[in-house]
Amino acid sequence: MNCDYMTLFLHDYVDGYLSTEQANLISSHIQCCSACQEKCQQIQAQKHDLAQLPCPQLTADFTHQALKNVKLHYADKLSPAKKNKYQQYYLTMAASFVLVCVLAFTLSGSPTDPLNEPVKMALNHQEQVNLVFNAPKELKNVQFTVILPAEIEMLGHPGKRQVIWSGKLQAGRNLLSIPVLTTPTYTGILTTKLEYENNSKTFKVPMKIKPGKNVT
Amino acid sequence: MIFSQKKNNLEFNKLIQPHMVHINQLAYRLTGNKDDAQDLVQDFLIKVFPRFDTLDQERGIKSWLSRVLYNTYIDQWRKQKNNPIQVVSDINKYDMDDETFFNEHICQRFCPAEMLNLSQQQQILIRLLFRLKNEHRIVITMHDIEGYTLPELSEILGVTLGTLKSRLHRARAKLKILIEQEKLGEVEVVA
Repeated sequence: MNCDYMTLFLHDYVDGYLSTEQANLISSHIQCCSACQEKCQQIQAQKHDLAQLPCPQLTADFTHQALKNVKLHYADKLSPAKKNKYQQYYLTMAASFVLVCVLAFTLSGSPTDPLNEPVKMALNHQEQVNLVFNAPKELKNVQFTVILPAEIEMLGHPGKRQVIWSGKLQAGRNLLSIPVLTTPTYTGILTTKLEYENNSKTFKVPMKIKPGKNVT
Repeated sequence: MIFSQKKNNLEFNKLIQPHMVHINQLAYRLTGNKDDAQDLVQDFLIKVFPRFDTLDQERGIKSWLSRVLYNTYIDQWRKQKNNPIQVVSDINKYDMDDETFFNEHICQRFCPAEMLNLSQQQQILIRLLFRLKNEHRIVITMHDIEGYTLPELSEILGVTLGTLKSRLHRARAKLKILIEQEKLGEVEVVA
């Protein structure tokens, strides 16, 4: 039997997916072909090593708490008191939205909010802005806000002057790497706000972009 | 949220409890660290709870639960991966567009305490697994580590048997290359 042809079936042979007849054919070939025998042993050894990888178990406490959280999650969703609360919230939001629209039309001659002003400059220079944060401990549920100057926009967020998202920080040094489009030689301030555990920190970072170099 | 009143919380706990060891283990294998595994399991349970009474237990509860867990994981993974900004602990080391970067970033979050019981070879093997493309890592993890068969995986991952088989072979071949490079000292393993 051809060794190239054999190779096609070696994985299936090791995994036990072949019929008895096919497996016997491979087996008899392996016994008289050292190259195929070696390949077969390598596959078996790799598979064996992987199967031996231990896995820590999540504790019974965690499972108990997780199941409890499920009940709380759906109890919250089904509670009529909560429903009323959300209804009130959405009504308030809708009313606020109407009010904002009315004000926007009324004050159409006044200057616009700089955060909502669309970027109008031709931004065709791509750069990576790196910001390093040193966290004293691991922080979950951190809200990151990046406020972008008029001459910069974040890749994938055209026209937005403010990008907000949630994430984690590890204990120690963390890097925020922000892909931006800008003018080739921009100098200015980039503002980043971190909100976590009822704390809020704002960082105003002076930036000087030079073509072809990352900005830290 | 609509679900049968007959299936109360106690019934849900009774039905899900025997599978929690398997679910927790698979969550850990997929995410690579305890924190993310716990988040995944929590999201999974929230997803499963209202759908539990629709489960036809004759069809195989283990595969069904694994499929829900896998889909929850993929949702989370895509969400994280598509986040415009990744927080990483090592500067200027990776190409941000590279999927390997993202996976290695996850791998760095391995808790050292969890690594204590692993041999050096096992630690390297886990790190090399995270150097693979996500689909390759998942097929090796679920087939070679967790012991799912290809027909089971075909149902769980929603991929045809033929595609899955060639994916497994390619994944093993790539892992083999990484292991060989590691032996030659060509792959730097992040400590």
